[in-house]
Amino acid sequence: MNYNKITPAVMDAVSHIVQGNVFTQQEDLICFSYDALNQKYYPEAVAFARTAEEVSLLLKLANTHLFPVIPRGSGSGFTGGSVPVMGGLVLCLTRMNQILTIDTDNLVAEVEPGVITGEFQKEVEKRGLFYPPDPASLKFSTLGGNVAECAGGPRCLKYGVTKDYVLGLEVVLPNGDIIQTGAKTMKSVVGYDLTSFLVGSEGTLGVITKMYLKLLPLPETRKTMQAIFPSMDNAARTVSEIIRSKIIPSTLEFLDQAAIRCVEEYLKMGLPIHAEALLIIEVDGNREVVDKDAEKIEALCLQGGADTVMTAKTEEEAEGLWKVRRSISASLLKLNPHKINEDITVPRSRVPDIIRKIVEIAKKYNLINVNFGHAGDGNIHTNFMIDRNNRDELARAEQAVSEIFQATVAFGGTISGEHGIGIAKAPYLSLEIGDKGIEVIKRIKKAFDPNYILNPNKIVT
Amino acid sequence: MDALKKLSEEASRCAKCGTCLLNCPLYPETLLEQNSSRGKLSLIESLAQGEITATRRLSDILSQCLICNTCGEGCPNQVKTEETFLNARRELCSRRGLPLPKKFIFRYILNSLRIVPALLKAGSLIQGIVFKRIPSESGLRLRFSLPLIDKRRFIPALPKKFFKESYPAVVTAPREKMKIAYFAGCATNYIFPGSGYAAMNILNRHGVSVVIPEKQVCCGLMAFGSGDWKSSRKMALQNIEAFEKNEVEYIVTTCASCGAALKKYYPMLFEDAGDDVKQRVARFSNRIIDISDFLINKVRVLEQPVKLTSDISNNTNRKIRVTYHDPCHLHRSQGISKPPRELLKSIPGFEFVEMENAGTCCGMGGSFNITHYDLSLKILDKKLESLKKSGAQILVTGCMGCMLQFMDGIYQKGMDVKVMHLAEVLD
Repeated sequence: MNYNKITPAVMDAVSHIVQGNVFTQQEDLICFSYDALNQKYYPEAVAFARTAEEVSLLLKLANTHLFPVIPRGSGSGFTGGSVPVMGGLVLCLTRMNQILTIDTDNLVAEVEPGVITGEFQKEVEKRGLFYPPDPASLKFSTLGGNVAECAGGPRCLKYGVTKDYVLGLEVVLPNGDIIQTGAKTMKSVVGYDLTSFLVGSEGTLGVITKMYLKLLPLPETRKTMQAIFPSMDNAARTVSEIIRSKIIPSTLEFLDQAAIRCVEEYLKMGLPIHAEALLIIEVDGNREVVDKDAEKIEALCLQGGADTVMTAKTEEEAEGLWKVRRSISASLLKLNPHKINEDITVPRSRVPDIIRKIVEIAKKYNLINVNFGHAGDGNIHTNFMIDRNNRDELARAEQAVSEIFQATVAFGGTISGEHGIGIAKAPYLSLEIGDKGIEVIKRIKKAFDPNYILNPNKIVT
Repeated sequence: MDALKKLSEEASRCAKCGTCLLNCPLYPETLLEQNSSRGKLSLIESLAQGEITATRRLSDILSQCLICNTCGEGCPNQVKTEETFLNARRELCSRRGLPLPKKFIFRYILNSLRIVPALLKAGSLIQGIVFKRIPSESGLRLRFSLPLIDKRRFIPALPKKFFKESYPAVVTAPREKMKIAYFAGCATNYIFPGSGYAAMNILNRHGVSVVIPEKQVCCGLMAFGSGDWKSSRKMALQNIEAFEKNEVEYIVTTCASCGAALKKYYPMLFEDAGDDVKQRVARFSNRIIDISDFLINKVRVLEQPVKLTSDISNNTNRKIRVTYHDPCHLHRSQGISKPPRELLKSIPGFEFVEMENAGTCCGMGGSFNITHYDLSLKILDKKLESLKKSGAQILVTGCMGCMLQFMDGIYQKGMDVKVMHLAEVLD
C-alpha cells in the first residue's frame, strides 16, 4: 500500500478538526513513537480527538488523502499495536476519558475509551460493583486499549477476559461512518456479532469511541494464599486438582525456580530458593464460601506435596504475598538489561510439559530464562533475559521464541494469551491459524478498511 | 562526551512500559506523553545520540517536570529518572544558556551575602506600594501586573527583620548538652523567619546550642534544577566553606529543599571533581540532617522529660485537627516521613489525621511554579481536595516551597486552613 505524506494543507485540516490539539514538531513526535514493545517508529503528526465526530472527520480526511491513522491510548501494549510503522497520524484518545454512566439497576457502564482501567474499577467499586479484567498495566492503561487488545489478567481464570465484559460499542469505521454494535443488554443476537470483530482487533477495523461494559456485584471478601512446592510437577498437578474439585480461584499465579530466586535476591524476604514452584492463590466471594474454599485449597496443596502453605490473615499480609508476584518484573532486570516477554497459553494440564520444553530450549540456546504467570489458565509469561546490544544473544533468543511458539501450538495452545499480535508476533501468525486463517483476516480487514488507512501492517500485512 | 554517553545509557534503560504515566503528578493533568517520564527519557536518548539538537522546544518539554522523583521511585526498571533529567537540563543549559533573568539571578544575586538582604530589605520597605495587603492572612497581592508574578498569586509579606539579623553567630542553650550548626536557607531567612525562631527555641529548650555561620548563602537548588551547575557549585563551595570552620557533628536544616540540595545534590554536583573536593563535599553532606529526624533520632525528644507542647491548644478543650504534607525533598529525597508524624502525634492538643495522598507532590517544583503557574495550581488542586476532605485546621509541612504553594492555593480557594512549619507547631 502506498500512502501520501501529510501535507501542510492536510495538516491544517487535521488541526481544524481537533481544534488545534495537534503536534508536528520532531521533539513531540518522538514522544509518540513507541509503546511498551519499545521499538521506535515516527508518526508525521499527532492529534488528540474529543468526540466521535472529530474521529469521523479525521478518518474521512485520511481516506481522501490516503494517510495512515493509528489509534492510541496509553501506549502500554507489548506488541507494538499503537506504533505508527507506516508513519501517518497518531490519533490519541486519552482525552476522551469520561465515565458517562454507571447504571446500578442494569449493571452496565457507559464509558469513553480514554478512561484509565484502574480508575474505572475504583469508581464502580465505590458502588459495590466490580469490573474484573485486571491486566498488569491497569493503573495506567486505558479501557479503550484494553478492549482493542482484549486484555487479560490474573483474574480471568474465574472471571474471563475483557471480551466477556463488552456488551456493545460505538465505533467509527475507517470510512468515517459512526455505528453502534451490540446493545446495552446482556442478550442481543441481531446480525453478525460486530462487537466481537472489534474487540481484540488492535485498532485495525475501527476506532472505538464508546463502550458499554458489563459489571458484576463486588465479591464480599477474598483470601490470599501462598504455597511452596519442591517440584514443579507437583505444583501443576495441584493446580489441576484444585480445579477438578470444582473450586475456581479468582487467581492462581505461579513462579518458577528462576523467578523465585530473582525475587528473593531482590526482596530478601526469605523465600525458599530450592523450591521449584511458588503458587499464589486467591479465592473470592461470600465469606462462608471463601473460608471453606481456602481450607480445601490448603489441604489440596499439602496433599499435593507443598512444603508450606500460608494464608494471609490481614489485608497487609495479603499485600505481602502479592508483593512477591509484583516484584518479579523489577527483579528480573538484575539478570540482564532487557527482557523478551512472551505470553503463550496452553491448556492448564499441559503447563508442566511446556515448562519442561521451555527449559530445554533455553538450555539449548544458552539463554537466561524465567517463567511465571497465570498457572490457573495456562497463560505463561516466559522471559528471556538478554542484552539487546549483544546481537548473537538476541538472535539466539529469537530462535528460542520461535521454537517455543511451535511447541505451544503442538500442545494445543496459543502464541498469545493476552498481549495480542501487533507487529511483534505477526511473523508467527500462520503457525497458529494457517495461511487460510490469515486469508480470512485479510478479507475482513479489506471489508472494513478498503484503503488500509487504519493502523496498517498490524496483525497481518 | 562521557556525560552524553552516561545520559544515553541511563535513558535507554527505560522499557517504555508506561508505569510512570499515572505516577506522575503532571501527566494526568495534561495527558500529554511529552509530560511523562518515558517521553522525556526518549527525548534525552535522542539528544544524546545526536538525533535531535538542543532546541527551544526540547528545553520547554524538559522544563515541564517537577523533579519530584515519583516516577523514579515507582519505576520497575529503576531508571534514575531524577538524576537523568537534572543532567539533561545541565546539558541543555550548557548548550543553550539560560534565560536572562535566571542567569542574572543565579550568577550575581543568590550567591551574594550582601545583595540579597539589601534588595529584600528595600522590598520589605516598598512592598506596600506594589502589593495590596491581605490583613487577615498577613500576605500580599499585586496591585498591578508585573513580569514573573501572576496577579492571582498570594505572597507572604516580607518581615521587617530577617532571621539571620535576629541571632548572634552562636545561640547558646541554657543547659547545653549538644552543639549543632544551622543552615537557614533563603526562605527561612527572608520570608518565614518565624519557623527559624521556632527551631532555635525548640533546640535550645532541649539543650542544643546552635551555631549559625554567617557566610552561608543560598543552597543553590534553583540554579541546579535549571541546569546551571556552575552557579550552583559556586554556592555549594561557599556553603561548605562556611560550615567547615566549626567541628559540630550535625548541620540541621528546616527546609526540605535546602536539605535535599545539601545532602543529596551536592555530591552529584561534584561527581567529576577531584578526590579531595569530593571528600570535602561528602563530609559536609553527611552532616546534614532535617530537624524532624534530628529531634526524633538524635535528641530523642519523645523520651525526654522536657515537654513538647504547643500553646495553640491551651485555651480550648477541643483538639485541633492537623494533617501533614510530605515534601518530595524530604520524603523521597531524604527518606524522611515518619519523624514529622511522630512529633505531631505526640502533641497533646492535636488530633493528627492523615490526608489522602500525603506523599504526592504539591506542584511547586521550584521555578516550575513560576514558569508553569497554571499547571502548578492544577496539581495543587488535588492536594487541596484531600486537605479539605481531611477536615484539618492546620496543614503542617517541612518545606518552605510547599508552604508557599499551599498558602497560595488555600488563599485563592478561600479555605480556612492554616499552613505551618513543623517547627512552628512544636514551639
